[in-house]
Parts: sequence; C-alpha cells; structure tokens
Amino acid sequence: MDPAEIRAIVQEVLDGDTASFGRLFDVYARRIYGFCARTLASREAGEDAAMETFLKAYRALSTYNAALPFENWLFRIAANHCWDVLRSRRHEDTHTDIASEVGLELSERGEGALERILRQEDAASIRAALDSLPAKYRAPLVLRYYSDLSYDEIAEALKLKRATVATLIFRAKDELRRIVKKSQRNL
Amino acid sequence: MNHFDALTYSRYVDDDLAAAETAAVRQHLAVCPECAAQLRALENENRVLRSVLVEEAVPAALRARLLTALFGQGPSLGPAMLYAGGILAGIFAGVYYLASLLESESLIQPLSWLDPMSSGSWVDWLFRTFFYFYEEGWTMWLNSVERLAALAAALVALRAVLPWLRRRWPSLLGVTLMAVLLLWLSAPVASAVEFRHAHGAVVKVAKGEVVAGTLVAAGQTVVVDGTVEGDLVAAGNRIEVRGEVKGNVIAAGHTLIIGGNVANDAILAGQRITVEGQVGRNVFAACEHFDTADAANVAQSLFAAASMGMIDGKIGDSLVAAMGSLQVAGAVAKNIRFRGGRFSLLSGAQVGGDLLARTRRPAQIDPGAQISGRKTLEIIRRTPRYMSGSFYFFQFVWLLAAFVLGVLLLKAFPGFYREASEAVGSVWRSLGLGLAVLAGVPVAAVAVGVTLVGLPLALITVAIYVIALYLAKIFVAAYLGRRLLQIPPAAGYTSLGALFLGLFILVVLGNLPYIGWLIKLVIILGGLGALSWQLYQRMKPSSAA
Repeated sequence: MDPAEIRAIVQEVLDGDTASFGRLFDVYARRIYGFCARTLASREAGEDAAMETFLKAYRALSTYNAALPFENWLFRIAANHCWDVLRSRRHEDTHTDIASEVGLELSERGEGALERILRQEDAASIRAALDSLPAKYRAPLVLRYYSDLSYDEIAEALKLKRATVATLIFRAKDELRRIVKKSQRNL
Repeated sequence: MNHFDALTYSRYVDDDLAAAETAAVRQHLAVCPECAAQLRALENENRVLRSVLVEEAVPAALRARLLTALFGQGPSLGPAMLYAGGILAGIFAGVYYLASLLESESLIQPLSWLDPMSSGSWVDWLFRTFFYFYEEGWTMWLNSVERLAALAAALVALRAVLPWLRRRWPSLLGVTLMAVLLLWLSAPVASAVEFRHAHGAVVKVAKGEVVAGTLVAAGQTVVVDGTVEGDLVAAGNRIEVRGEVKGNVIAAGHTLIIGGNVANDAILAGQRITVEGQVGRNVFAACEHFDTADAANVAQSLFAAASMGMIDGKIGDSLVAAMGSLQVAGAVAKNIRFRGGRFSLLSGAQVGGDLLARTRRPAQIDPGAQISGRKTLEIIRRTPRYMSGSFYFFQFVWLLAAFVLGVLLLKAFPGFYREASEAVGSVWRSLGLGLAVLAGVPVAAVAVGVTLVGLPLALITVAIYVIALYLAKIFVAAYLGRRLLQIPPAAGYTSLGALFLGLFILVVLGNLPYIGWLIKLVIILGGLGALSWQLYQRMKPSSAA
C-alpha cells in the first residue's frame, strides 16, 4: 500500500471511522508481530507486545506526523514498548552503559561466521543465536536489520545516544558470531 | 597503511557515516584488499541477518483481541452482556427474596430500594443508609453502595450495547453535564436567593421582617424571628428558628433550635438539636443530643440518629431512630422503630401503630404507655458473624456481584480494565494516589458543594467517587489473580478465572479477624489509586507513544 493510501486511512480513523484502524492492522500486523516476537524472543510475548503497540498507536494516532513513514512510526512505538518489557525482565541484560568499554575490535576476522553458516542453510541456528543474545544487543540489531531503521531512529526509539547504538550493533554482531561459532564447535 | 577501526567499517556498511568519512573509507578500501575483504564479509552478514529476520504469521486471535480491546467488539459480546445482565438481575432478585425470608425486618429496610414499587425518596434513602451504617458498621456501607454499583453496571451495559453511544460517550457525557449545569443555572428561580453572612456575629431576620426568597445564612449565631418565604440554608454555632420558614430548613451547627414554624422538611445536623415548634413534613436529624419538646409537632415522620434522645410532643406519622438511648413520652401516630442501646416508653406516651425496638439492654415500657399495634421487643445479641450461615451466603453474593461487574467492565472497557488493573502493580504510586483521592475528593466536593451553584457538580463527583470506591477492588483482584496465575498482562486481563481467584482471595483477606479492615482499606486505596492514575492517563493530552 503506498504512503498516500496509508495517510488516507489514518485520516479516516482520525475523522471518527474507527473501523478503518483494522485495515492499518492488516497492513502492518505481520511486520510488527515479527519484530516483537523476535525482539522479545518469544511468540507469546510478541503477541502481547504487538497488541500493545497497536493500542498505543491508536491512542497516539493524532500525534503521528504524516511526513514520516507510518511503518517507522509504528516500529518506534513497538521498539519503545519492547524495550520497556525487556527492562522489566530481571534476567535480561539491558545495561547499555558502554562508556567504559574499550577495544572495539572484531573477535572474528575475515569471512563472516554467519555467512558460512548460511551457506549450510541453517537459518534456524542463527535465529536461536539471536534469541540467546543479551537484550541490549538483540533489540537494536532487530531494529536495524528487520525494521530497517537508521541509527538515528533506533537511538530515538530506545532513548539511547546514536554512538551507543552504533557500538551496540557492532558488539551484537560480534557476540552473534561468537555464539554461532561456539554452537558450530559443539555440533 | 592506516586501517580504519572495525566499528567504523560496521557503521560504513550500515550507512551511518558522514559524507566525508564515507569518502575516506572508500579511498582506503580501493587500496587495501584486506579491509575490502573484511567489508564484504560484513555486507554479507547484513544480508544474512536480513534474510533470517523475516515476518511471522500473525496469530489468528490477535486481530479480534485488538479490536475488542479498542472498541469492545468481541464476537461474543452481545450474548455475554445479556448473560451477565441476567446474572446481575438474578442476584438482586435472589438477594431480595432470600433476605425477606431470612430476616423479615432488618434486612428488608436497607434493601428496600431494590423494590421497584418503593416510593422512598432520595433523602429517605440517604437516611436509611445512614441508619444502616450506624447499626452495622462501615462494612455494611459498601452493601448499600450496591445501588450505585448497579447504576454503574447499567451504564456500562448501555454503553456497550449502543455503539453510537460508545463512540461518542465522552462528548455526549460532556454535553449532558453542560446541559444539566446550564439548566440548573438558568432555570427560572421561583424565588431569589439571598446570602447573609457575618463572621463571629449574629445574622438575624428580625421579627416582622420578610425574606422574599431562599435565605442562605452563615454566622456565629443565626436567628430567624421573621419570615423566610423560601428555604433556609444555615450554618453557624447556634441556629434558632423562632419565626416562620415556608420552605425547607437545612441547617448544620453546634446548637439548633427549631422553635417556630417550618412548612416543609427540616434536615438538621449538629451537636444538640431541639425541635419545639411545628414542622410541616419530616424531620431528619443527626446529632449527639436530640429533643422534641412538649409543644413540638412533626406532621409526618421523624428520622433521627443520635447518642441520646428525648421525644415529647406529637409525630404525625412514624418515628425511626437509631440511638444510644431514647426516651419517648410524646405521641406517635403510627409506628416506632428503634435500634440502639436503651429504649424507654414513658408513662403518657402513645403509639398509634406498632413498636419495634431492638436494643442491647431490655426495653422499658411504663404501664401508663399505650401501644395500639404490635409490640416487638428484641435484644440484640452479638454472635460472631463467622458462625452464621447468612454470613457465608452474603460473602458469596458479594463475590458474585463483584465478579459480574468485573466481567461487564472487561467486556465494555477492555483497554481501560487492563491498564487500570496493571497500574495496581505500581504499588506505592497506587497507595499514595489512592489515599490522596480517598481523602481529597470529599473535601473538594464539599468545597464545591457549599457554593450551591456547584452543588450538581459536587453531587456528580460524589456519585463517581462512590462508584470508584466500589470498583477499586475489582482492579486489585484482576491484578492479583493475574500475578498469582503468572499470566502475561494481555492474556491475564481477559482471564475470568484470574479475576475470580483474585476476588476470592480479597474476600478471604478482607474477613480476617482484627486485620481484615486494614486489608480492605489497603485494597481500596490501591484500586482507587490505580483507577485514578489510569483516568488521569486517559484524560491528559496524548503525547507521542
């Protein structure tokens, strides 16, 4: 659906035709649910979070700036909510204070471990590895490579500094390589 | 050769570098095969990640859940509403019927408002509630509030049934309130209102003076020796009506004396109240000492709650009293109903109808007293409430009524129900806010109400307040049930089992000996706080999510 059509539907909802919100849901549900399920590493939690995202979007619809892509706006709401959920989980590591971290060097050089695995057609093991990433890495990674948000948009959604986002994504991939490599060794 | 660091390459493949940096990296890659290879690997990884992170099939129920949460359009909403409405009506009918079987006198009275044929006025209902409160303690007060809860349930049902109303509910409510307010303000006032007040001095309507309309008077002493054509609304340390009031008297003060002639009702609250003159209709009184003198004549009924009372003179209809002790020496044309510590019917007293006295000490009936109807004297024995079957029956009814109301709330306002319940989880915020609302709203309502112009607003506020007090426990129960069953929020607040479990636990905790009342207070504070918080969240201008 092109942006003009989406804008028209949004306007219909704002004008009181609330049923049109169901059409917006139909367009974006798969994207948003996929994002939430992946970020929260759980289908059930993803379902709840997707529902919350649409509820919040409905309530905040009047604040949506039609000049920006609607999908990105939805993703920002979803990311914001998922991030809150992750932070409320005691076992998740959402500690993003990386000021003291030094040595931003790759632990894996040359050919990417991920690429090697994909050649073996094992996407499932990468998804499993993604799920086992600390939340602070998983959330920005999914926002970048699933939602296609820019670093700036991710920073805004997660209320982090842009430099922090860059570092988290960098570290996320490094950690992902390490996990994948380890699981390969265990096979 | 100066290689760039790995983070820079990572940002390069994600298009995050500024133009100048991007150009510099490109220049370097053209001459450094090692870095170029690393970069290709990073780009391939990004492709891998994008190919792995794919959309997921949306669970079938999500759409329906969302629309139900947003607009209350659940597929089974209609039948569920009917079902719940039927249960609610059944509960009320059942309670009424069983109550009449169990205790024909004492339970009928507080529940008589359920009787559609009852002609009791609101003031009457208010006083009955007060009497019941006086007799049974504050826990029973919540039962009386069921009337308002039923009203709330009816509104909830109405709102859910009519989609049009549902969508336009806030504006419709606003328009209605405004209309009521405007009507109130612009209604042709039959008689003008006159305000008189004097700090630490006497406000007086002198003998021979006529106040054409309603008089609102406040002062150290308020004396009416003349005539007030409308109502008299008075507050002061001492209020004396020696002249004539052609409307109602509504008065509060330390000492109140109704000596002259009041054409309509007298509604009085104070420390000492004495009726010496004529009252054309009823007297409603709440005070410490209550007397009616020999010359007093109340054309209709007298309702009084007091620590001590002495009734002389004539009462044209019935006397209903709850007092620590009461002596009756006058004439009551119809029935006397008394509940309290001691009751004495003195020599010379006349009762035209029945006498029902429920007392803690044996009632004293002098031989010279006349009772035309039935005489029923009962001694109130205090037995532990846990020992009676009706206790468990009413607890069950309480539980079921709250459950049905919870289900109605869930069906009609799923989003609000869920969020308000979840807000209970912020325990300290809820308790603090709950305390502020619990204490603050009555104060605010009184402050607004005394201006008279704001009276409708104050009454509406009080009604909403009372409904909120009743609903408070439902949100606490929903939260408690969900946490105990460890269901995530979105699913937990559609689970009726969780609600029922929560309510059940609240009933048990609230009835614990010694600390039950404290637990009930905490439940009300928590629920009220969460409810208020959520209302605030809904009302404040929405910010970006």
